[in-house]
Amino acid sequence: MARIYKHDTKPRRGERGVSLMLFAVCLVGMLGALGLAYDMGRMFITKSELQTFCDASVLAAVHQLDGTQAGIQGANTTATAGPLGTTKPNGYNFDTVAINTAAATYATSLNGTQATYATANASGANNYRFITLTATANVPISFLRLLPGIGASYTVTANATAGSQAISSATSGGLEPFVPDAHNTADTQNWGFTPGTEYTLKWGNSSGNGKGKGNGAATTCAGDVGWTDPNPASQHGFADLGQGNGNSSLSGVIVYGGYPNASSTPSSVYAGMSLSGVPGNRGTSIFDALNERASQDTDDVSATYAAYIAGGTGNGRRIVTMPVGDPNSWSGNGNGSETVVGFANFFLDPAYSGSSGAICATYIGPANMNGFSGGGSDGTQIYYNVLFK
Amino acid sequence: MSWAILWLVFSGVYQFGYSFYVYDRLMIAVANAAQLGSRIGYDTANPGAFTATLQNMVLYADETAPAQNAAPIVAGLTAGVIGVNVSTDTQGIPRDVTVTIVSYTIDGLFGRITLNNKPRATTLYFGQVTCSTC
Repeated sequence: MARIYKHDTKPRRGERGVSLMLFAVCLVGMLGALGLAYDMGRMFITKSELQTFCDASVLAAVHQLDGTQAGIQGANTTATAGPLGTTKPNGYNFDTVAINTAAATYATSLNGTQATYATANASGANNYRFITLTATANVPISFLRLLPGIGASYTVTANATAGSQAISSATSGGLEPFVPDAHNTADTQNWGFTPGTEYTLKWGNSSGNGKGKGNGAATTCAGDVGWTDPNPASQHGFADLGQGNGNSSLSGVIVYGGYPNASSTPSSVYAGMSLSGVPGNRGTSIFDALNERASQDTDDVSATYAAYIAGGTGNGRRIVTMPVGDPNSWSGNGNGSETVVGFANFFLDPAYSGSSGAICATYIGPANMNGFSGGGSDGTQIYYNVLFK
Repeated sequence: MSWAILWLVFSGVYQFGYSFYVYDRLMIAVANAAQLGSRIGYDTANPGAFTATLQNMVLYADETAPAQNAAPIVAGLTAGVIGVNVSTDTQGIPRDVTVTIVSYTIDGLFGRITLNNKPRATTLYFGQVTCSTC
């Protein structure tokens, strides 16, 4: 008769409770993993949300730095409140909580000494061009707090720095097709222009060479009246950024920009290059184009740049960037060429009308392609506001 | 009993871990796209190109569409669920850009979580406005 063996399933002495211990060990390990997954996951997400807030806020804020105390104050408000101010996008905790714990510091260079808001705001004029924003948020700890030494919440921090970056050439549009003539090529910051003063974008008709020569018909712009421009009278101040000589092309660039670009000739504009002119007076079309450009601005009433900034309602369409030329380098007649010495920002008048006379705009300062001010101090470069880290 | 508890905790680990991982990837993707959208050119005559560029940035972390059948950053993500909202001022000039995941379901094996209008990121617009047909 076959013998049936039967395993003894009863734990032997000394083995009782082993499965409970194994379960307990596994449970602790799994709870630890759950803590890592849940609590660390939330920390990582919060970090990403804070970073998004910092990046967007600091980039919006840096555009307001213009060397004035009001610029610091405006930038600080934008940096700490976020790019849309009171509507507070870019929150944390799955975008449900607005971030209110952000503080900005200011520097004159990327790696310069960081000044607090109180210090930066202490003087009327300043050279601050960089902002570093730090935001914090407390993330509640749900599982990891069961481990010794870990509190009920953890503070997550993120920061970002934005500032002006100098670029030596314009390659992606944004220039206006005018070449204001430098009054002093040795002045590589302002080219002899005085901020707040109007200069000639387009010269009116005059006879003979020397567009200025005190001829009231050639210009009525305050900064150029009485100044002798050695360029030929047939050169009215237009530049070919690659758009060509047609009236509609010229008007199109004035209104919407877009030149130079990768497909145009030239594909870039930089200091030292020889830039072709566009001949002719062009009549009312240029006035109409500049008028349309000015009317695209949500503030097309402020008469001065100071009033425009103080009003705070403009969208920047009246602030334009253009190359500055060396008037003594002109060769040829109206369609000759001129050496570019640098760039500058100008502020358009609220409206333009006319036919063949001069067209003026207010000099602001060295070029900043996407800022509301001159920004930098090197007129040979174009400043872009960028996120550094 | 103990097996059930361990399984429950394990499913929680996976569910939370995977869901948070996907959410974080989407968060970073929309933030990068919004940041790109703040500085690239905007053609008032062709806003679709602007939208497509930002959608590609979210989908593939690249502003240009890659080769066919390229995998998006997370499974099942399509351009149709990526919202790009350009708010303009009274003159039609872009003022700010918001990139959001309009609707996306994270399939976490043990359960599904649907994201509605999140994550999202908003930036002010500072690029060059052009018009190819004006």
